[in-house]
Amino acid sequence: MNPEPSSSVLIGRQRLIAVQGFFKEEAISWLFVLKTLIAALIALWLAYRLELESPKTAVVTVFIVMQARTGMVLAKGFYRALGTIIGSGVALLLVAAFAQERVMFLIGLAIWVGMLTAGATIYRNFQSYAFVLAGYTACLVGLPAALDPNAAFDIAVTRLTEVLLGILVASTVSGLVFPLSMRELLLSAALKRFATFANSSGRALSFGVPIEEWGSLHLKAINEIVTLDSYRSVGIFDNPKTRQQNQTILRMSADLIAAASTLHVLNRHILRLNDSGMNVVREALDPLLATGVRLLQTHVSTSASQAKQLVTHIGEWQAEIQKHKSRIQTENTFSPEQQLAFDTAIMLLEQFLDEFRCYGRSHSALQDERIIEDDDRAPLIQHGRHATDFSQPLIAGLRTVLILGVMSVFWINSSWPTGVLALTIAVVVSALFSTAPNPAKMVFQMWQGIALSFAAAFVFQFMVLPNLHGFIQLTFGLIPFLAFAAYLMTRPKWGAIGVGFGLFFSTLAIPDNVTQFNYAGLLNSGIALLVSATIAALAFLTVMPMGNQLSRYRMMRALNRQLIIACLNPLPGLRPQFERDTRELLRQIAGMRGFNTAKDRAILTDALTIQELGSAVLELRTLLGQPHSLDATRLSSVQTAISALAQFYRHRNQRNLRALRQAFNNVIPQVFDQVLETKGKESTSNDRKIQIYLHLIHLQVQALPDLGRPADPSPEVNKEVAGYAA
Amino acid sequence: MPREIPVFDALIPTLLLILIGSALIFVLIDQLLRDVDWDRFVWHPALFRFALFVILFSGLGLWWYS
Repeated sequence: MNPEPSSSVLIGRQRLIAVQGFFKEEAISWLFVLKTLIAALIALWLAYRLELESPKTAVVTVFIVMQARTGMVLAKGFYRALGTIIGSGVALLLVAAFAQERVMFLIGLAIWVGMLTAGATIYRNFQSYAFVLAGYTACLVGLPAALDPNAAFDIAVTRLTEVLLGILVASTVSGLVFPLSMRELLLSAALKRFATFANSSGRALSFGVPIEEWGSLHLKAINEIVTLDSYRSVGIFDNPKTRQQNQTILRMSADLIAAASTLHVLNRHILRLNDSGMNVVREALDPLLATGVRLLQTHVSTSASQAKQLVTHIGEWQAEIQKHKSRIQTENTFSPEQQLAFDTAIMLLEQFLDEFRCYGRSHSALQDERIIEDDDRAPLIQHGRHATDFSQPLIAGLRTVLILGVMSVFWINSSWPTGVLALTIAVVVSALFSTAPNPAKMVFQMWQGIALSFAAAFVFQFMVLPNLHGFIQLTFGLIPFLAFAAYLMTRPKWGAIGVGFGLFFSTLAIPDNVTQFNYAGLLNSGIALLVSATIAALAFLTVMPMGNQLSRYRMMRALNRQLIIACLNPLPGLRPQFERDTRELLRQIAGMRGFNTAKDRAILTDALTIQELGSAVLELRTLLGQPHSLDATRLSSVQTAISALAQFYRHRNQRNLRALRQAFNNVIPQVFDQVLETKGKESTSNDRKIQIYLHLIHLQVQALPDLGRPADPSPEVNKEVAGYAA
Repeated sequence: MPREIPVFDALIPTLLLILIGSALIFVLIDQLLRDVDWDRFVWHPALFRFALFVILFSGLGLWWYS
């Protein structure tokens, strides 16, 4: 329809889009600044008006809760309220129990905070945040309350009121002033994931993607799925449609994961077809694959209708494959191995396309605001909890306990007047960042924010504040500082500096109802803050830093355990659980600091192997549960092989590897005996499928690297493998 | 009208009860409006709902205290 635009026009248009993009981004940042300012000032005014004890807490809460999107604010506010209520309750309980016993009180506090910090690492997103908060609010309320037990209840109630006021104002402002819903973010992320998945499927189907690159694609996909899930969990707060479609979105992620795991096996198989011995098979498959590969590789989803179209086209392609596969089968003469490779490719391809269309359908349902009615499949459970090794929460909890302990001992022995503040902030900082991928860096940024806010608070309190009269003037005095903090918060690179500045500037500088100019007090508080942040940073750097050997070892073991689970646990509901947990564990391992060395890439290929082996084993076990013609002896040797696999992943050593290979060398000829019996039958019969999956597992097992031999072609891989076998 | 009323012997601001009452009424009305897909006719649904709540709460409060 349109004439082809000339290249200079095209470049001009691209530049225009880039400029527009820049301004759009800036506009969102400034909108955030505006909203934060409005919310902070309204909260401050209300707090003064209601004559609350310390109005700054309301402002601090606004800074903590404020986010770009309304849903995030509501979600964070909700969980913050929850955490604060629980934390205050526990603080009162502790005060009631140990008001006179300082040491007992601190021990009780340490246990509570440690437990909740540990809990925070098991949960995700804002649920995790609620745990952190319930932990440190107990500290924030409990310590001042313990020093003044008679006022304990009032302290708790005041804190609660101020925090809730801040949450209320932040939520209202965020919802009313140019609200930005999570909805569009969710939809565009889902669309992008769909397009990326289609493209990498196209690449996998054409020549296969090399395993190393496939690993990093896999990681990216995992992270995108996790992001989508967090958008969902937050999006249900700000959009009724998202709330209604909760199940649909969960279903979409599950369908995507199912399709992706078949694609893993398929990709590995197509890579094998690049082998020279398989040329015939490749050539026979090429005409079948050509249409689909072109469709998938050239697909760009810029709109939901395009994605829908692709799914329709894929359906047509699938029908085409159905029509032509028997013809191609008869046209070519294959050796038994080639026949097996061909059947495998066709079977996996058909399964993948079914799953891909399923995913496409649930994706369209999301985009069209429909709800999938699926009666035949069980509803998916959503929970923020994720798989991890128990060492992770344990380390996080103990670290916080240690910080609390060290600070308490120092405080008690030195009778440091601002020790309470230092103790509290150290616990807050260490709990807050315990779930971050690189906590030490975050704490360091926070430290910079505190230092900046310290200086700014001086300027404000002693140069600006004395000249201000009344709330309106105070507002004008505060705006530059608060706006600076809010703007820093929108920059991903300086986010933690912005948060630190916003929080601690408000804490240090905003006057209470009765203004005091206390030079020494400000100095003492500032120094206490800096000391506590330093201690927290030191703890993160020295006490079991992220990515330490023990964590890595434990997490790899947990990943290995997943395969044992896939081999041995009862089948119902196992597949989605396996897919979810392996991905989560891999994500956590890859998220550890300094994950990029050659050794880590070996971990990645290893994780991929576990993923593929697990999917294949689960398929095989499902097939064994359906009608097939294996007799009892054959069945038992298949079972033996599966247990040998589990045994190998329980203790990875050369002896178990040999036993595993032996088991598969036994079972393969036994089962393939039946080729004669099944020949001429439909190539998609259960017997054939069982053969195919056994064959796939066999190939993987053969490809497992040897262990513990001194002269080995790839010593790096083996050292690592031997490392966690020990 | 009493500013505070005793609930289980604890004095509670009447306004708090009115707040809870108007929140309940609001949830009911909101549900009804959602069923007829009211959003289509409203420019700023969040503002509309907020205003509706403010009207309910202040209306009830003024009626009670007048």
